[in-house]
Amino acid sequence: MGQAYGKSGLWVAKTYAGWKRYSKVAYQSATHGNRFVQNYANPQGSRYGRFEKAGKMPAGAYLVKDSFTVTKAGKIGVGPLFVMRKMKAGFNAASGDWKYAMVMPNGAFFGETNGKNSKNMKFCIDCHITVAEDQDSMMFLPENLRK
Amino acid sequence: MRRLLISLVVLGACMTPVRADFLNALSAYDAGAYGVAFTEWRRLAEAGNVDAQVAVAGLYEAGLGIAQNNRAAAHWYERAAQRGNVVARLNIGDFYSRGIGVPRDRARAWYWLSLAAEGGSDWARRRRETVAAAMSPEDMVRAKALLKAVRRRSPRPLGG
Repeated sequence: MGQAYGKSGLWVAKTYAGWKRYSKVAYQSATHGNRFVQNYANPQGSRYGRFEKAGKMPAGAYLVKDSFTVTKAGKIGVGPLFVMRKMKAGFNAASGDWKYAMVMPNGAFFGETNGKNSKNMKFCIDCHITVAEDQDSMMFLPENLRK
Repeated sequence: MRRLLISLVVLGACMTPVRADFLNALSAYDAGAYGVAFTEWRRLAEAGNVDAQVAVAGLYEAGLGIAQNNRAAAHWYERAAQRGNVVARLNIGDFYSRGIGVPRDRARAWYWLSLAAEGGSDWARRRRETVAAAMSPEDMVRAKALLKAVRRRSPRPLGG
C-alpha cells in the first residue's frame, strides 16, 4: 500500500504507516464505499484514541484511513488513502477546519480542501459534517474493533 | 477584445459541466460505485480531460467498474503522460519497466521516469535508478535519444 500511495509524493502517504493504528483489524466501512479500511493517527492526533470522548482535535492532527477492495472475483486491490488534517482555526468553517484529501492507488490525487480543485473534496465535508457538532467531524469505528 | 470575451464565456460554459462531471465520477468512486465512475471518467477521458485519463487508467489497472485490462491502462497512462501528467508518466514508466500492458522496454521506462522525476516525483527518480541498474549500454543510448528528441520538440523541462 505504501508503495502505491508513495507515488503521490505526499508526505503523509509515505509516513502514515509508522503511526499508531487504532483498529484491531481491517473492517468494512459503509461510509467509504464498503472498502476494508484501517485507521491511523499521528502523535498530534493521539486524542483520536479516546473516540467519542476525544473532543476537538488540535491543529496538526492527521487522521488517515488506508483501504483495500475485494472484487466479486475475489481479487484484492489497493483502495484510496483517505486523509483528514486538522488546520488552524479559521481555515475553513464549513469543514470544521479539516483539510480533506483522497490519494488514489496509482498516486493521483484530485483535490484537497482549500487547495487545488477544492470542490472535488466537498463530498467528504458533506458526509463528515453530519457528526461535526458532537464529534468534531470524526467518524469512529465499531467498539469491538477498537485498539 | 470582443472575440476574446466571447471565447472566455464559451470556455467557461464548457468547463463548468466538465468539473461537475468529474466530481460526480469522483464521488461515485468514493462511494464504491465503480461502474458509474468508469462511465463518466471514460467519457471525459475521450474528450481529453487529463485527470480523467489517469483515473480511467487506474480503474482498468485495478479492474474496478470494468474488466481488468493492463493494455487499456497503459494506453490511458501514455496518453496522459504525453500531455505532461507526472502521475501518468511515473506509472507508464513503471509499466514499461515491468512489461505490464506493454512489452518490457527499459529505455522507454527510463525515459518516462526521467520526465516524471523532472516533474518533481521522488518515486520516479528512485524507480529510474533501479531501472538504470538493469539497462544495457544500448538501452541507455536509446533512452537518452528519446529524451533528446523530446527536448528538441519542447526545450524546457516538461512538467505536469
